[in-house]
Amino acid sequence: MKTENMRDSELVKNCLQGDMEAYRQIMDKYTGKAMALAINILRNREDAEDVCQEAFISAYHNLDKFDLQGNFKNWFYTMIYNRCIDKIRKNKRFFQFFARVKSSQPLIQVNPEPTNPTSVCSLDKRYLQTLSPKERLALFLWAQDSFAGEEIAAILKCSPATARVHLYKARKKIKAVIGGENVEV
Amino acid sequence: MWKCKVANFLFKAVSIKIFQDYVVMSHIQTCSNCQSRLANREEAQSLLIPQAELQNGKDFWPNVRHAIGEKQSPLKPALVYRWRWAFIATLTIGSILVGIWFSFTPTLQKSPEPTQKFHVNYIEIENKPVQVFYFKTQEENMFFVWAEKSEEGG
Repeated sequence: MKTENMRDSELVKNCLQGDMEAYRQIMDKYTGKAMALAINILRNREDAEDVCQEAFISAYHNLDKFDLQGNFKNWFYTMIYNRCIDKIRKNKRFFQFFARVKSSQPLIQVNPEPTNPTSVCSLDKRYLQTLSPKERLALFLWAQDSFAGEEIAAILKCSPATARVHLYKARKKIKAVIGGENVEV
Repeated sequence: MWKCKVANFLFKAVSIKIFQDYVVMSHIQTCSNCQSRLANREEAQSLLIPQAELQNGKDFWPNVRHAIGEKQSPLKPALVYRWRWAFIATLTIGSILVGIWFSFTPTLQKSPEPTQKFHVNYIEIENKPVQVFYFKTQEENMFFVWAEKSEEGG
């Protein structure tokens, strides 16, 4: 893990000296991870692609703010998560606007539902709809990257206690859905 | 089993994150019965879209490279760039203060000679020239000026 951090820091240093190839290597390394995180939070491939592209551009412009002793992955995940939350808010406002337009202008036919998430993967991703974005992030980081409460908290910008509670709720909801229970957490 | 019920009840009843975390850490974390009610990693992974499916997806590099420019270094002139607003604000406030200082400072000019202070050619009262008298006082630089209307026809 430390070696990985050191390698990331080395690439970032090279980027700061204007080495574009180093940034390409960073992108190659984190594209899959970033897409997986974004798509599991947003449940929409197009939105996830937008978020990732914006995050890569933003990360490049803010590389000088990255602490070279820190963890690039966590720093970049935080950026992705924040952009996902912005995207969710934008989409919410957009769909609320269209809902109003639809109610007043029946000639306009708009489907406010996001792209069917099942088109991304054969598994039924509707399970994830029962989770909040924070819970989805906590579950993703725990399941895919084996993150502990402290690391999840660093990305969510909350206390480790809160992060553990989000994770607990996510795991319980998922289990309830898988088991066919109807449990409120 | 009753402990599990109490823990679940307390978790739902008290929606304070620190307390909920305490319940999780003190009981749920260590209780096999409660753990069986939580999804494990494999179950969670089966619902998440795996990274492997997305690894060979869209190549962001062309768009990102276009957006960030060809040879632009992200390194900014750190001190000046980060404190640019502070510099601008300091310069603005400084300029305002200097302006205020000069506008309130009395201009120091050389005192003119007594003869330049007061020069009277004639004085008019009611659009008619009047007689003017100068009186010199004991003091060297002090004069009295006396104006007197002329007599009608005079």
